[in-house]
Amino acid sequence: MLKNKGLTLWPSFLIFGAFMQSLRSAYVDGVIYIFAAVICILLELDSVGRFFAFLRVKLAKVFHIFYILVFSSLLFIDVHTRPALFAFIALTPLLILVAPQKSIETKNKRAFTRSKYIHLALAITFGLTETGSFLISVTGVNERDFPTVSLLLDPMLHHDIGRALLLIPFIYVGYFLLFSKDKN
Amino acid sequence: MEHVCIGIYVLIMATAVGVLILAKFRPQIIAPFSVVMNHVLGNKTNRFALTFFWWWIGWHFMGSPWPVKMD
Repeated sequence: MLKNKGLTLWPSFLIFGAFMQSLRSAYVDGVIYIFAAVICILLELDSVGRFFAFLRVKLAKVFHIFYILVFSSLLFIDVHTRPALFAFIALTPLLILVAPQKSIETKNKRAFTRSKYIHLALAITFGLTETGSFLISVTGVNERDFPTVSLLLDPMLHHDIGRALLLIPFIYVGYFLLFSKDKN
Repeated sequence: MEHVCIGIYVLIMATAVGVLILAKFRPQIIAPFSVVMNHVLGNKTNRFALTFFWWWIGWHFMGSPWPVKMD
């Protein structure tokens, strides 16, 4: 059965993202966002969810090794080159192979709720600042006056040490998102 | 305006670091970020969407949008 929540938050957000990407003429990114929105809807179907869970159980070890090898290879590949692009494309199947996890029941509900809303407020503030900067920059105003994170990080990405400093936490957090499990 | 914009980013980061430190030493006041994330990732659509965004950030910063530079 298709649940309503799967048809609202994430697909709406991703379709909005696709629109924003098309504003900066990044049509490939826009198509990827639409593709992700479709997968979010599919994941809400019980039969599709069970199929992904089955694949994840069967292929878990292979994907752990694959993930580490491909993401680690990015440390040695130049930014904005074809090998870097293909490394990211190779990771796409991993993103589809996600399985449901048990949610953790926290003992301290008040601390949990407080933490949830603080992080949510920070994420929304960041998102609004980034979106505002982006929209102002595409209207033709000097983009240095309203820099996006992308613009600020560009000089760092073009140095090996700076890039490694960004890549290592990127690999670590990505691994957590894909493979974290309930330890309780 | 550039400094105001950068200031907002720095303020967000500083607050996030402050919250992380507080959660580390006073988990009874603010639950650690990992607890919140594990709860959020309990739903497979959340997990997919968040992993997708993380992948896209990597793609955007360290991969490449078209056209790809030919070396």
